[in-house]
Amino acid sequence: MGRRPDDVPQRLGVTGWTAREAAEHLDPPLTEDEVRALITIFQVPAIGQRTGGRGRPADEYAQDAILHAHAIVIAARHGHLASPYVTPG
Amino acid sequence: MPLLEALYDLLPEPVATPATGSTHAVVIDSPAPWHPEAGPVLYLISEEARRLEASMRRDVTGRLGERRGGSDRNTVAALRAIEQLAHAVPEERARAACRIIARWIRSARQVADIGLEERAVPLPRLPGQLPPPCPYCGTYSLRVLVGDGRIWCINRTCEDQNGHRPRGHLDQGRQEGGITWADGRTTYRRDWA
Repeated sequence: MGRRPDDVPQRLGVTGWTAREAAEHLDPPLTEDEVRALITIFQVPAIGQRTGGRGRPADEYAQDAILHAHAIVIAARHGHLASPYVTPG
Repeated sequence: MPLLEALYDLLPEPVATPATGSTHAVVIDSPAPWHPEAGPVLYLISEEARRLEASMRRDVTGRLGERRGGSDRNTVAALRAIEQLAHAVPEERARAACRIIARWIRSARQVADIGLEERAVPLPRLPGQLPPPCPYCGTYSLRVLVGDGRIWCINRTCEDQNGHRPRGHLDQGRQEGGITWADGRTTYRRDWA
């Protein structure tokens, strides 16, 4: 007998993203590995775990935290953020 | 359940990816032995229907009930049970179930070979340029239905000045690419950079 859900409506209501889901939804896109790096660098805390029947449960992260971290990284990639190590002029 | 039947009908069609739309694309990997869009949607509905049924049954009877097998018949039975249980659970739980089922329906309607609903996409932009950030949360979270220009922010914590999830309309006819928001705000393409 497999694991049974404790609070299914909240879990199915999908309050967060797994790293894989984030990689599917983010635009401009990031790979799943890049999303995992983003989560590590910005110390995005896991808010839960997603069990998909088999295998190890995937960590779930707050969607807004990932979106904000993504926005910072993408803006930096495009040179829209000033580096503290570069003086203007 | 015609939508579910349509998904089952599509399932044995191992077509190429929706992006290529043809089986004559260059083969770089083994194609999935089922329909690449209908398969995952059916799996999602099959899995979540069983979980939702168990949760609602526990709300009503205090027990999760027998675990269902994986057959298609059991999926339909779980959906029928959810329909019945919705009359017995508290209203808040019934509404939560309704939102979950609406998500399944939307996913099914958005399968390209069913084609009943357009899939939201990121805002169109020139190559190499960034998409416009949401004017309320500053993230790249705006999505649009290209057909009718409806636009919204996918960030679930984002709010407009009225405290609602930002929704607006992309005025595609206007050269400056304006977005009119539900709270009365208007943003223009020149503000996006």
